[in-house]
Amino acid sequence: MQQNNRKPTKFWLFLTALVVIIAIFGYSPIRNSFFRPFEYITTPIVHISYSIGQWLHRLPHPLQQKKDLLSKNEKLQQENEKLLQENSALRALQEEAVITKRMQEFMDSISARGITAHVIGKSSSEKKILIIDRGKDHGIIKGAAAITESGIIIGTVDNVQARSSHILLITDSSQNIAAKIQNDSSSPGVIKGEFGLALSMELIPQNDHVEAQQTVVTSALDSKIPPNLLIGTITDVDKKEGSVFQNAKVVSPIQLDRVETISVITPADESI
Amino acid sequence: MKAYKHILYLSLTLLVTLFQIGAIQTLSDHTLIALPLILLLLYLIFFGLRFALVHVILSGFLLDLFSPSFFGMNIILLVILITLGSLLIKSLLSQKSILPLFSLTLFSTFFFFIMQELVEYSSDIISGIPHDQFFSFSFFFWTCVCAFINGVAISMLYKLFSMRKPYKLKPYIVH
Repeated sequence: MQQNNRKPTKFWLFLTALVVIIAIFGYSPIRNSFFRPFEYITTPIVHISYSIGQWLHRLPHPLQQKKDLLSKNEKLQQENEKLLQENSALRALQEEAVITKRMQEFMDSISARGITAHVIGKSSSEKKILIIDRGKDHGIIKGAAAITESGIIIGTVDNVQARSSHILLITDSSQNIAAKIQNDSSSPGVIKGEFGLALSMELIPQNDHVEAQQTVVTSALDSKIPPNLLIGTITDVDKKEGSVFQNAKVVSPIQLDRVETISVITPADESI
Repeated sequence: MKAYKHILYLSLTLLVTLFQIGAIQTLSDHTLIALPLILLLLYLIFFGLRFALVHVILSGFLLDLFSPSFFGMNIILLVILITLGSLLIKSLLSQKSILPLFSLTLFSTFFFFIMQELVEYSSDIISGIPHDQFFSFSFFFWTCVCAFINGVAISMLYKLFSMRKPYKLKPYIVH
């Protein structure tokens, strides 16, 4: 195609105007209304692309043995997840001494407020962010907790658009979640992501008894995150003499960036 | 160019960009190939700056629509990148060697990812959000991998399209 020299000024004016219009709408209060039609068209395509990506990820390769081991490992992890979640739910409810009734209430309240969403993509940046196909139109609000089908928290809603949202994973370094350890003193602390890979629990009182294999769940300090959602288990404790707090390494029982379906839990007073 | 061809190319840009967001970025923890960048550079080489810029707006808009970063970042970066590319292309590209094209792709990939990281870092600093992975070794390593794969992919596509339609798809600069 030839570089045509017809009306070059008009072209540049049109292009500049287009960028300015997009930028104005991008930051205006009617952003969601303006972008909604585009999201209606693009979200299903991104969803299909994500499914293709997941299928490609599972394709067999020369290292089949490793793949089999990974598959077995995944199955074991799923079983482990289930057991850990059951364990943490039981422990949480044991504290209140009305196990069966409260457990049902807990699960009902979570599922009633849960908005099921599909993961449709990942952020291109270094941040650990998943894109889901539910947004403001479906009742998603910023700060709400995102959990897996088995009730394990994976992150919180970071950014809400009309028909899609971003989930900031708990492993991201900018993430902070109020948590507690399921030990005798229900030790409080803050879960922080480390380099997008691991989890660290900080600000745990120095005198509390903390050890590996203890379970970490969300605490009731954040109004938008339900308490007692499983975060992971402690693998290592860093306790320094003379320090006010101790830290612990925590491992989530799931591969956070490989989940496909999640539930976003709307806070009790804001559910639709 | 006929209207239906414009629609066809716009659809291609839309699908490639959405495939990047949905599929490519989920394959690995790091971006291994930047398909929209490859497509836009090919548009620049074969159809010229103005054609490429129209597609930059579409591709940048879609990337921004699904991006957690501030809105408009991808459009602005891609506009700068393609405009810089068009300046370089005239002095670098010749039909005799594929190396200048490969170099242009390497430059474009590095420029895009480094600027993206820089903008996100600045935005996080302003918002008071910790950002502990700023220009890490891992970032540079994976950007190099992506740049190399992009370079190989664009060289192959360029050869393929140049061979199949020697008259219609000659680089616009040799017309």
